[in-house]
Amino acid sequence: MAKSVLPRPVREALRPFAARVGLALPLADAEVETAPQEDPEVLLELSRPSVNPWTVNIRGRERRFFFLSGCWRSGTHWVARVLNLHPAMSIVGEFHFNHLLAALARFTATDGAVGGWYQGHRPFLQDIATESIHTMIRRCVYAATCKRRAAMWMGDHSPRYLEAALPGAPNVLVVRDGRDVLVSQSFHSLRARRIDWFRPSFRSFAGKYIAEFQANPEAFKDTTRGFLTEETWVRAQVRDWAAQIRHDLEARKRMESEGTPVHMVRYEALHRDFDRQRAALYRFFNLDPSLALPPSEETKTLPGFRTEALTSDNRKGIVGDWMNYFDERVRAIYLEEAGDVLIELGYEKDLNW
Amino acid sequence: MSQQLKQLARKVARVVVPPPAPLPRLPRNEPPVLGHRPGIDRIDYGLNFEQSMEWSPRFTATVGDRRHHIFFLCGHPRSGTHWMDNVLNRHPRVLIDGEYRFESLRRAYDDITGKFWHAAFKEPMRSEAERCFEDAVCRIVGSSSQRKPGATWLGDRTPRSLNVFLKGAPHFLIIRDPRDVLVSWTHQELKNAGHHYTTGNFEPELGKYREEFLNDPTFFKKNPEALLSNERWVKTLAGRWRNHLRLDLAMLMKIDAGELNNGVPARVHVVRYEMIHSDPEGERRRMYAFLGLNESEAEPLTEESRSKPGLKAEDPHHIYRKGQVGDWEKHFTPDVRLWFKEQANDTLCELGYAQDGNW
Repeated sequence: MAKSVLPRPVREALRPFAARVGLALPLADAEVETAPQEDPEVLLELSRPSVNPWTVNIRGRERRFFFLSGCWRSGTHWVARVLNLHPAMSIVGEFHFNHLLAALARFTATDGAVGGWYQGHRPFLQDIATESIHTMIRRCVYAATCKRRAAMWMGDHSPRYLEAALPGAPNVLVVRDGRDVLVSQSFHSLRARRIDWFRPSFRSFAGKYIAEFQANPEAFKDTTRGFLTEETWVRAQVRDWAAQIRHDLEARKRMESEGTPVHMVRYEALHRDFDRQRAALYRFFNLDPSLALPPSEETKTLPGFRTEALTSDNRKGIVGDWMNYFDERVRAIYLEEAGDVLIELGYEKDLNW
Repeated sequence: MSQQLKQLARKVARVVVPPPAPLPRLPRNEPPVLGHRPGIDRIDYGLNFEQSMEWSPRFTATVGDRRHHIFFLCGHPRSGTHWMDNVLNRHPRVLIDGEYRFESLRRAYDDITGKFWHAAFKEPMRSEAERCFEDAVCRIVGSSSQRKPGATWLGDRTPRSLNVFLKGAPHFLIIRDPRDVLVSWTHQELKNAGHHYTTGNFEPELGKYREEFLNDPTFFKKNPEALLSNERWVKTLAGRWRNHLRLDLAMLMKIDAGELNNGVPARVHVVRYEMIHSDPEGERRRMYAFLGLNESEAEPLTEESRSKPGLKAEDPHHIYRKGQVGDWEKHFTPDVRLWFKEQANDTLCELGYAQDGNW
């Protein structure tokens, strides 16, 4: 709240007092370091790390990179805020490095159908291109997170497919019941600022719902209104969620077998057993949980929100909200498109729900 | 089970036959960009040589103790980019090693820096990403330098839209009569079952011609009217050529506006395929001069190096097929002319290849 209401100079003046009661970082931690390109020593280390692709040593201090991902509307922001309660963590979002990783795969493709005739498939150019993209990832994350000098871990949180942005760097994967994801996304989309953010097939009804929502948000608590009444919307959202989960579960196995650790966090488990789950998160990074600041409503780190705010990015944050919005039609689509994924994740035992 | 099969079929369909990329939406009646006419209008756009070299740290690759500048050669596919490559490579201080296709990396860079909710939309992350992208391009192109250590200019030759990846860098843009492009393009697409043939699902309509052509390379010499006999095919390719050129011309205008007028700092030398046919020595002299090089150091154009205009013998299956100007007239029936005009006559005229629709 304070962050959004108070101007930055006022916030900075209040910081020492806020830090004393655990609501802000101490001034020393919040100081801004120079951007990489202004410091040749930092630049060199980020370009050619002396330790490994995800660990750099800058003026005798080790700093490590990590990544947090998950499907959209699955709580990646919440988990990032929880991680940021620890003084050794600094995580920002959203970089969406998956676009870079996909482009790198295309650039270096050896498969003729994708582009094997490009120069980039030559082994030495594959190495240069890969190094260059890794450097871009390190420099961008460093520039965004180096403000917290005490932080040893520097991370990005993005709702994206799980892939190793830097080989070996720890990854946190957030997974949430896809039915709640669907409800959350259907409300979130009502706040869209531009119609061209939607796929062309959604634009006709999206414009109508957004206008109605702006006029009267409360009316959308009625389950017979909004995106959930559109079959094409529901089917596409469910299919996309299922595709991402299937991919992420496969990617997790592959990455772990290749030496990239992945820690999976269930949104629901974090709700149910917050203290233990967040302690496990810190321990994944070999950090002492007792050093973390306590969660608070102000930092939006506690499970759920005090009141439902339909027009906010942080709307409700509860588990099982789908039960308030699913009718038989939505349920049937869900079963058809992703019933098996819910079972695989353990959210349901069978298709009879 | 049937649901699983359906899902599998959908998945396979997505992999094997991806839907055709939507054409960029462009206004149909926009005014001419530069009124370019061969031999009449300017051929150089944007910064001059000295202004461009002020940006040279952004397009320089350092390999050991050698410094190499980077340039780009682009244009619509089948417009002569390979030929220009061969001509430029006749100079001992120039090396083009092939197609790098930086577009995918560039699109990814544009994506991570282009949306306001992305962290790299803001400074200093945006600048970091930009410098990293530029460094990547310089390092990748620079790695070819060992193949010609005397080369001071290293180039990327990719048939693509004009887009500036390194600020201030010189670009060659090659433009060819689109009707010849269409003929050349169709030969190549049919030979290789190319991107448009596959993604546009043309197999049912053009498969029989493709088979004839694969069995007999002279099939379209014997049946010239068959090459472009499919209306959907002609309209698809003509439309794509037009969209490509509209983007090129729009970018040319931005480059010409220069950095101070919200433009893009770069310099472009426009090369006409037809001009280099009619005056190869004059054209290549201007191309070398554009890079600040002395023409007298260059090797002569030869048939062996495929740098001379035209080819000794026609090979309909080869990437170097014929290399002629005006070959289109044999293949353009009255119907083909009509289909082409519907799609791209405005841009054809703007580029000076026709006066109006009466051709």
